[in-house]
This record gives sequence, structure tokens and C-alpha cells, in this order.
Amino acid sequence: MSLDARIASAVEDLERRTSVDAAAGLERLRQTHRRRVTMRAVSTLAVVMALLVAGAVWRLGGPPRQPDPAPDRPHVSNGALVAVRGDGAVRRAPLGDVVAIGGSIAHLPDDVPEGAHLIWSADGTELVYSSSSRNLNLVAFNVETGDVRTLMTCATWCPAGASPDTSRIALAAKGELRISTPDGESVVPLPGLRPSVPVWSPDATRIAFAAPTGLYVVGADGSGLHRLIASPDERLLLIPPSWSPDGASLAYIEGTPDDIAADDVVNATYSVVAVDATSGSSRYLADAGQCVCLGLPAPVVAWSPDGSLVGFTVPGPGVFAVPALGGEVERLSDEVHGGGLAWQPVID
Amino acid sequence: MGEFQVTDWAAREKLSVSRDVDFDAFYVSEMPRLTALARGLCGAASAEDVAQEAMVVAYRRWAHVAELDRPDLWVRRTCANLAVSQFRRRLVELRALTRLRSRPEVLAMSEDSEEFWAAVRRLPSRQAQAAALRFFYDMPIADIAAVLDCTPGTVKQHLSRARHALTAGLALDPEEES
Repeated sequence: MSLDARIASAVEDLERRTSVDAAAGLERLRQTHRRRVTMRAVSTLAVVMALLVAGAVWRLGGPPRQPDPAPDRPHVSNGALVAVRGDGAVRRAPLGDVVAIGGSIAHLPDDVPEGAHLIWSADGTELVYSSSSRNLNLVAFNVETGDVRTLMTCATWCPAGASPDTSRIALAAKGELRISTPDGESVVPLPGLRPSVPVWSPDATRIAFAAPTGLYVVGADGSGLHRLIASPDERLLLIPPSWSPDGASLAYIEGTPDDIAADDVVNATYSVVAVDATSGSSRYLADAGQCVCLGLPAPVVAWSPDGSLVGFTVPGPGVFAVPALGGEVERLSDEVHGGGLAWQPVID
Repeated sequence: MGEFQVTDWAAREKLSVSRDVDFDAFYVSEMPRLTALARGLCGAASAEDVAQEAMVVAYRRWAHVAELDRPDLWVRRTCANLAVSQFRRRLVELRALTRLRSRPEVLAMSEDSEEFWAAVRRLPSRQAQAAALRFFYDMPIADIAAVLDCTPGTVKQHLSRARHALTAGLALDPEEES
């Protein structure tokens, strides 16, 4: 029997022996949907009621005698560290494979440009990046189902960062940040600044970005713009920083080139640095390589979801991690030649 | 940097269709073959639950799915991805185990058919998905590419490799392939 005959026979057999009671299935589907909606509503209502009761107690008699136990926060652990694996050639491969280090993921995208900025949604289900197969639009790729949502379309590419729940987008433009929500858009003036891809804090109240003049933080409502780190000669590379999961610190790549010719960088030395997001006090964490960086992707950095490590790439092959408080550097992979890096949060 | 446009958020708010009527018709037309697709990809035990879960997701997002040019392709993609994702399938199976109603008996296939579908399930997941979509729906390459979110060239490669693997796995004579 030929393969086509086997296929036809097997399909016919399977379809004949697969019966569906559509009416019962629809009823069960609606029950399932109602149950899940109810569970979500009950959870939300419980939170609201708890807040109302706490507020009422405070108004009636001040703080309770026994302090309420701290609400259980979901425990977050480190999932896979996702990186874009370029082929190490100088701008010959516009696309890189996305690899997962230290974990398994059902679906990974295959349209992430080398050097693209990657972030995870707060629940660890979606990767957000500019897709090379979708006109460099900003998309959210669901690693469990393989679904792709378009978050933003741009004329060329989207130098944009999504908030942890992907409901808001901050777009970098010369001299401003444009923050989009389902209700509209607001513009945050950044006079004289040319920001990198903006990065939202875990609580979505602040946005950090690098500019040639230094590392900056601004409130998501546009208030409180301030410079955390000043670049000594106003040539800090535009590499997006990474927030610690508690929002207290930022990790970034410090690299000042000796010379810049068009888009190429020549002779740069990189370091991984952590900085307090309020005070601006910084500490050196690790050496991130040195190169005659003719078009190679710059190093990138990603803070681990549990807060203990800072992952980073270098201009050559390799992904590394260093303890967030400093210590020995560990090599996690030999296969990655720089590019995007993002650490998946796993909600336990 | 150029102008930009915010897309896709407004679709969440649109309810321009009579949700239940249109969804019921969609369910009735799609579910039988969707269940067969799931059975081909993940076996009889969880096929019904996987297909049903894909429909639950479609129902929840119907305001968006109904506006697509091809909602049928959207639900086939969801089902195919659920069927090959071991993590998601375990969640679906766990939910199914908590149901108290008795489950209908699954009719067994012939030995040859069981052997064939077992060979399909041994394929790499993308090859298995491409092959199953081709076998059940006789979908054109472009539609399979849309479901799997890859290029038509990649689909052809998956199908070609799947055929070679099935021919070898089932010990068929390659010269008998039409």
C-alpha cells in the first residue's frame, strides 16, 4: 500500500470513529466559561472586599491590634533564559534563532532579529519583541500556544517597550517618550535626549532608558525625570537596562567606545553595572568583554526573576550570569553570539 | 522615528456580532474535525478535551476571533499547538480529571490506523502539525503556513520530511509513493 493510500485510510477511519455531541459540547463549554469567569470575579471581589474592610477598620479605630499577616505574594522563580543566537558573523544574518537556556519552552519564535530587544510579560507566557516577519511590528508571542498578538505597528521598526502586563507601550522618539494605552496616548517630553528602547519597572510606575548622556528614570505619568548615571563623555551606548524584580535597582551595560563611525563601533570595553534606582549609587558587577566591534551586536543584560542573578552577553559567543550583589561569573552557554536576552518569570 | 499606529487593542472592545448564534454555528461546523485533528496529534485519551479547550479559548476571545478573515484557521492553530504542547496538555488533562460526569467511550480504530497515527505522533511537533492539517483538511500550503505562522517554504519542508519519516517508520516501499 502506498503512503497516500495509508493516509486516506487512516483519516477515514479516525474521522468515522470520532463522534462529537455538539449540543452537549456547547453546553459544557458555556459551563466551563462561566465557571472560570466566576472564579476570576470572586478572586477580584475578595481583594476589593478585603481592601474595603481594612479601610473601614482604619477609619473606625485605627490600625488593628494584631497586624494582618502579609498577603501571600506569588513566589516567582527563574525560568528559562531566552537569547537570540546569531551566527557570530558581522551583519550577515538578519535573523537569529531564539534559544532557551536552563529550561524548556513549548514554542519559541523564529522571527526575532539579531540584536532585538526581548522582554517577558509579567506572567511569563509571552515574549515581546519587534518581529522581522511582521514589518518589525512590536508583537507578543505566546510561548505556550504559539499565538502572536500585534501590540504596535510602526513605519520602520518599533523602538518600544511594553509594560509587564503588555497593556501599555512606551515608544522612544527623539526628545520624547510616547506612552500608549487602550484609552489614548500621552507624551513625556525628554528635552535634548535620544532614548534607547524604554524599559518599564515591574510595578509599571517608572520607565528607564539609556541615552548618550547617561541612564535615566521617569515616572510613567511623565513626572520625576532624573538622571541616575552620567556618561562622562556623552557617548554612552544605547543599550536598554534591566530592572531588578523589586524595582529597587537597574542593571545596565556600561560601554564607552573609542570612536564611532556611522553605525559601527570600534574598540569598546564593556562592564555590567548595577545602580540603585533612587540614589544612583552603583556597583561594578562584571567585565562584559572588549572588542573591535565592527557591527557586532552590543552586549545585553537581563536581571533574573528571583532577583539573585544578572545575566548578560558579550560581543563574542557566550551567555553569563553574575550574582546581583557581586561575585563569580558563571558561563551559562557557549552558543549565543550576543543579541536579545530575557529571563522568563515562573509564577509558582 | 516615524509615525506609529496603535493596533489590536480596539478589537477587544468590539462586539459587532451576535456572539452566541455565530459561535454556535462555528462550533458545530468546526468541532468534529477539530477533535479528529487533536486525536491524530495527541491520542484518543485527551483529544476531546484538547479540542474543547481550543474552543473555550475561542469563545472567550470571540469578539476578536470572529473579526478575523479565517477564524477556522485560528482555532485550528490553537488546537494544534495545545495538542503538541506537553505542558499545556497536562493542564487540560488535569482539568478534565476533575469533571464528575462520565466520559463517552472512545471507539478504537483498526490496527493499521492506530499504527499510522502513532507514527504521526512520533514526528517532530511542527512536522506532525503540518502533516495532520494537510491530511484532515487537505489545506493548501498557504493556509498551513498561516496556521503554523511560518513560510510556505517551511511548510513544504515539513511535509516532505514528514512523508519520508512516515514512509520509513511504516516500512512502506518508497517507490510505491504516488
